[in-house]
Formats: sequence, structure tokens, C-alpha cells
Amino acid sequence: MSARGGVWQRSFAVSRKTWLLVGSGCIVLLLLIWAGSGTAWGRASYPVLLQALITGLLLGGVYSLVSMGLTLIFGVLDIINFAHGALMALAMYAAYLLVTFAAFNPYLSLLITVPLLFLLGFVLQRFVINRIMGQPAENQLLLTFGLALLVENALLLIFTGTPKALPAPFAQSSLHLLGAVVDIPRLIAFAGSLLLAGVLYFLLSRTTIGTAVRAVAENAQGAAMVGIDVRTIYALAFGLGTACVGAAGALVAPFLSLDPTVGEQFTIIAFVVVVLGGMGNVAGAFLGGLIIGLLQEIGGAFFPNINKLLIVFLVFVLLLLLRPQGLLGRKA
Amino acid sequence: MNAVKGIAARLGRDLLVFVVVIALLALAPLFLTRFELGIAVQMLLFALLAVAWNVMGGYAGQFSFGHAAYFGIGAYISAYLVIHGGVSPWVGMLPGAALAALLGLLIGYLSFHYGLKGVFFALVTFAFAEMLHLLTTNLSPLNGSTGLNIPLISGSSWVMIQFPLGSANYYYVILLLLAFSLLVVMLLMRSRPGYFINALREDEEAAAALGIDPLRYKLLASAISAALTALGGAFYAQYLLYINPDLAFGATVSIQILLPAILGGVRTIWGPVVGAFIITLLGQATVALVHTPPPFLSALAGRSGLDVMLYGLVLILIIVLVPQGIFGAIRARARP
Amino acid sequence: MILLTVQHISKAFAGLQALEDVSFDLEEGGVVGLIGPNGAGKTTLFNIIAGTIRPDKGRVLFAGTDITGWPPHRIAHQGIARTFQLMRPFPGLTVLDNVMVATLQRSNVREARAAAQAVIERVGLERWQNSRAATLSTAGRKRLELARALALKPRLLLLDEVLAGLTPTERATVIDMVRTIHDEGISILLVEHVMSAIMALSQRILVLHHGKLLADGPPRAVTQDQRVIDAYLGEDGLHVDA
Repeated sequence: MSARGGVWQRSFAVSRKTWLLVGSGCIVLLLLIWAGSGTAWGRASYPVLLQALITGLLLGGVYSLVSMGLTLIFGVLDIINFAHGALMALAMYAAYLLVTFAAFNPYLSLLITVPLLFLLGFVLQRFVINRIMGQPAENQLLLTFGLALLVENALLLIFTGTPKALPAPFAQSSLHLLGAVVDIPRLIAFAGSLLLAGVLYFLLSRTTIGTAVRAVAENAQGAAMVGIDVRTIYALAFGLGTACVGAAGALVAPFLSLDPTVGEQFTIIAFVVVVLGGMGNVAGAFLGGLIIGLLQEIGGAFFPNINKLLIVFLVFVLLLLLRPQGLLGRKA
Repeated sequence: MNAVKGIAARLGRDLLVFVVVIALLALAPLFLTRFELGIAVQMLLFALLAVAWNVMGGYAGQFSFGHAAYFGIGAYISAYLVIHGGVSPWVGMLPGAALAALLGLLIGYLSFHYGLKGVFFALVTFAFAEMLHLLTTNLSPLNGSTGLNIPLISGSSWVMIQFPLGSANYYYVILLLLAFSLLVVMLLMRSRPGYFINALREDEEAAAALGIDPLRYKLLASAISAALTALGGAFYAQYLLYINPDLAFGATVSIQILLPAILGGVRTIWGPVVGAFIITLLGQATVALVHTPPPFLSALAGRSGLDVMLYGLVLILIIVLVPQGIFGAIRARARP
Repeated sequence: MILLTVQHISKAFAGLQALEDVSFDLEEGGVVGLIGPNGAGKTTLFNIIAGTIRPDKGRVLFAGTDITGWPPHRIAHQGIARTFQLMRPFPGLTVLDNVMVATLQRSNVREARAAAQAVIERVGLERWQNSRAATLSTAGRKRLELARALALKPRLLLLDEVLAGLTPTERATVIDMVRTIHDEGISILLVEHVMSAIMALSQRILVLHHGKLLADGPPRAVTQDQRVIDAYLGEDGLHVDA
């Protein structure tokens, strides 16, 4: 069974039915919130919930950032990239080096990490991953896992396991919004996520290269027959996916503590997000990331005793069983 | 006696190889130092787990990325029963295996019912293992992340599977378990259900058209694979006299379980064993390298990470160069 | 005795009506041919009878039992065996193992092996008994398909384009095999584009067109039916060949 993401033309188009559903959902939600504000429970809980909402959204933005690259890789190459988080850790350490030894502004390090990770991804795909393109998915999973081990432990070897922190300009500052606390670095990461989504949209739908990428995602053989160099597109798409993760790494380095295994939890969550949004669907990954972030924080607010990740995994299993094509994917 | 004759007839040449290999392995402790014996125990454990995984992941074609779930269940249940009931781990293995088998049945049933294949199935198994990981970290009766300590008893006990540190008896226990599992797998794959399992893996629709109930035989493979894995878990807890959520359910555990099978060759009886052997040797070689590196690598002395890096590299090389595993490749050359 | 009854079977796929109100009976011991242009719904009909797909409407009765919607393996146990249009051997298994899978349905391993070897000899594949199925030629694979289906000792055999891709000599052999099978009392429903074979083997021909049963009758009558000629055969009816 394949449950690949939807047709690319649908990537960013949302059907009228969805708009209606979302619209009425929002109205119902607002009504419930207004009704709840009258109760004692409401007055006590609303500040907590609002904070959870804001934190969840910001967290979700980070998840979106990481997941958009993963879903792109899956959409075009049909590969589950287990090394995604490790590459993100690589980007974070690269940013660390630039900031610590070259006195870069952490956000300027994006200018280096993004092309660097793009190049790395391109080369990786072209010379290593390309060789196993025809093999069963499990082998590809193992290969990328081997890659993850390699990268993570290389980082361990070079930097040791002691957690490091990036000296960042406004690491401690935050602003207050409607009574909730918003960390500035996280806000910047969220903005970066939005920006990245926009850039990807532009790239994929308005440029020739983007159209070629979409064509290969849709039907590699057909694309080859009309003269598209599929091998290069594969490498390009993988590079693009890792470039996304390069951006993600640079953007979160200011507020996450660095250790070689920092990417692991992101890999796992990125999987959940990608399945939620529909494998191959970039808009779905963006929305999915936000949803998972919200789920984690708001779920954690309602059930403080349960591990937040447990809720995420439960949702993941239900998703895989009931709707593996995700929210925006099309049933194959 | 008839049963033995039946087994011998069924297995034929396989049985001969089995007897020879087990005999050789049984003699090994006579030639190994205490340190090497410890490594050998580890190797046999990995072999057991890989053989067990192979039933589901190799023969049945259900690539499980979360076998740690069964391993951990076996470990925790055995440990818990030893600590709180003084129950012999030999006995404690049974409920562990049963519960693991039940989980295997559940996952198998859900996947079948919802039509999960390939990557999606792998992800579900992964998710279940992770959930167990998270659950045990938070469960106080199981001591959460601190884990369970199995109390020391004085002296030696075969019943409680506890021997003085470095005793060769641990080796014999795991060898026994490995031999048992190998026999189970060999008998299974040469029997009627084994033929059906192979057919289902090759082409499920065609197999169904020939009268094979896909659900039934996939569940069978699942349950056996899970139960055998749990046995390994129970042994491990007893060997360490300790278990915690990471050791039991960690994602790396799942990888360590399946790696020897992939490396050695899935869908073969001996591939997983060969794979375990190779991986253990490799691990030891890299540890030696890191501790006493040649001059040009002296910067690496004492640093951790190199051994796992090499793991990763080997994995990559295997998948790229010998996807059917080393033993599998040799066997493919041997018969046209 | 009526062995198979197909009653008002309809099936649509994503808006396309693959089968519409198809009904017919099949007598025990009969050989019925099923012809029609590609896309007419022949394989869909097979899939419904064999249980791979459920119909939207209608029923299938086999020897009096309603088997509509039964899973394929249960239907196989009832006595219906099928071959696949795109051959589906178990590629990694030997020819012997392939056939044993079928014979194991009713016996233990030892007996099953002997029975499988007998069937393999019957279809002439002894030389490849221990070779992996993936190494067989097209003709070999066709025979393997047939062997597996026969090994089930079915009462009804559904043959889906069993002659496609074979040279004339190979076809003659297979046609003989089908005749022998029929002589043993097994009922056959076969889909074919090779008109000469259909004419030679069938006692009755069904014609499917756009999912509807266009004609149902003895070979001569059907091949002279103007509607059938217009839809499928062309003026030179007997030369339609795959």
C-alpha cells in the first residue's frame, strides 16, 4: 500500500470544503472559549492554556521547519530519511563553530549552514543514496540510519558529549503577549519557518527547477521521458531537503542546548509530522508541525502527569492506522 | 524417540550443521579468557535476538523496527518477578514471552486490519516500542528511569540463573537459549506453517489464492518472533542484574536486534548468527583501536563515538554493497 | 448440476462501471469461455468470483453456498482455483516449493511433496523442480501457474489468459493440458484472446463488453452474432489473436 502525499498542485491549494470546515470549526471554538470564560474553571485555566497555545505554536514552528525538508525528500525520492535529525545537529554545531570562533551573528550563520547542508545533501544523494534507490524501503531506512549513526558519533568524537550553548544576542529576552510569555529567539525561529514555507512554495511552484522537481515526484519515468535529468533532480531535492534542515539548525541553535544527540527527538517527531501532513506534502508538513506542537503543549496542560511525547505517539499510531495518508494527502 | 526421529528426518542436513555448530560453541569457554567470555555471551545474545527477529522481519517479511518492545517486556517481567516474588527467571521467562507474544499479535492484527505495509508498518512498530519506553520511564512500580535492581544471592544458582561474576555458566545458559531458538525456527520454517509464511512473504495475494490465510500465518510468525525475543530480554536482565527503560526499550536496542540479521542475511537460518559474530568482532576491533590507537590516530585515544561511527559505516557499506547480507550472498553464490 | 451461479453482479471503480448486472450459470463439468475487448471487465469478474474484490451488488453461489465477499483463501478451500493474468509465482522459492504450497493445503509435508512432484511431472516441469521460480521462462511460468492451481484439486478452475505470450507450439501443449484437466471432471472458466483456443475448448462462450454481458451461447452462435462481431471480433472473427 502506498499512501503518498497528494498531487503537488494541491500542495498549497485548499479546497472549499476545507475552508468551510476550518471556518466553522474556528467559530465553534471561539464560541466555546467565550462561554468558558464565564466559568471559574475558565478564569483559572485560560492563562495556562494561552501560554500553552503560544508555546505550542512556537514549538510547532520549529517542528514545521524540520519536517518540511523531510517531506520534500520523501515526496521526490520516496526515502524515509532517518538521518534528518543528525544533519540538523550537524548544522547546529556548524553554527556553533561560526559563532564561537568567527564571531558570527548566529542568524547570519544561516548564510553558511544552508548552502553547506545543501551541498552535503546533494553529494550524499548523488554518490551514496542513489545506489540504493531501487531497494526496498527498509534498506533505505537502514542506510539513512547508518548515516545518522555516522554523523552523530562523528560529532561526539569531535565535540564530546558535553552540552554546549550558543552565545546569542537576545537569548534571554522575551516579550509579553496577552499575558503570555514569548521567547524572542523562538519567535524568530517561527518567523523563519514561515519564511521557509514561502520560499519553498515559490521555488516549487514558480520556477522551472521547481516544476521539474514536482514532475519527478509525480512520475519519475515520465519525467525522464520528457528529458528531465532525474538523477540530478533527485540529488537536488535531497540537497534542498537538507538545506531546510540546515536552516532549521541555525535557527534553533540560539535556544536549544547542543549535544550530538539533539537531533534524535526531532527525527522522530518529524516522522509524525510528515505522516500527519501527508508524505510529500510541504504545506501539510508546515501545518502538521504546528498541530503537533500545539498537541504536545496543550495536551501537556490538560494531562500534566503524562509524558507529552506519549500523547504524540498515541496520535501517531492512530494516524498510521486510521488515516496514513495524513490530513492533506490523497488516498492512493 | 519417534519425535526425535521425526525432527531428524525433517531437518536433515540442517540438523547436522546445527549439532556441529552448537558443539563447537559449547567447547569455546575452554579456550577463552574471562574477558573474551563476556564478549562471547554478548555475541550469543545478539545472535538469539537476531534469529528471533528474522522470523518476523526476514521470513515473514514484516520489517519490525521496534523489537525492543518484546525484549523489554521479557526483561522487565522476569526482573520484576525475581525481585518481588523470588520467582526463578526460567519460570519468569514464560509470562514475559506470553505477554510479548500477545503484543506481537496485537500489532500484527492492527497492521493487517488497517493494511499497513513496509515503511508504515515499521513506523508503527517503532511507535509502540517508544510508547513502552515512555511509559516505563514514568511508572513508579517499575522504578521509572532509575530501573530495577535484582538482588544478589550468595553463591551459584542454576535455578535463579545467578553465578559468580565471569562464570562460564552464563555462557551456557545463553547458548542453551540460542540452541532452543534455532531449533524452533528450523522446525517452523521446514513445516507447513513455514512454507505458508514464505509464500506470504513472496506474494500475499497469490498465496491467499492458494488457500493460505494471510492473517493467521502472519500472526503466528509475529507471536513466535516476539516470544523468542522476550527470552533474550529475560536473560539480559538476569545477566546484568539490572534493567532500566533505556536498556530495555531504547531505539538503539531495536537496531541492535535487527542489524546482525541484515548483515548476515535475512531469510537464512544461520545468517543472523554469522551477522552477530561479525558485528561483535567489529565492535571489539574498534574498541581496541580506540584504546590503543596507532600513532597517526592518537588524537582519538579514549574518546567515545568511534565504535558506533564504524557501526554506521559498516551498515552503510553492507546496504550498498551486499544488500542480501554476507551469509546470504555466500549462499546465493553456492546455489544458482 | 449447476456449480457456479453469478447473479446480477455489478462493480464500479471510482466512477467507472467495470461490471453491470452480469448473470450466468456454469454447469459442473463444463468449459465456458469468456471473451471481450480489453477493459471489458473479465479480470474484474474473475477477481470477484475468486474473492479478491467484493462486488457492489449481486451474489456469487458456488455449489449452493453463497460465497459473495468471502476472503480468497476461504474460496480456495471451497474448491475454486485461479491463475493470474500477470503470472505470480513465488519468485524466491523453488518450483517444487511453489507447488507444495498448494498441496500442503490438504496434506502433511511428506505427502505434499510427493503430490507436488506428481503435478510438476504432469505439466512437464520436472527438470526445473529445484530451480527458483524467478529463473523460469514465460512458458515455464505459465505451466507453474497451472500446476499450482491444479495442485489444489479444485472443482472449478479459473484460467486468466493462460495462453498469452506463448508461441504456437507452446500453446498447443497447454491447450492439450486444459483438455486433460477437463476430462478429469474439473469445470473450467477461461478468459482468452486466442479465438482458436476458445473455439476449440469451450462448450459455451460468454461475451463481455463495457461491463455488460453481450452474448451467452454455444461458440458458433456467438461468433456469428452481429453485436459480438461489431464489438470485438471484427468481420474476420476467427482471426482475433493476442
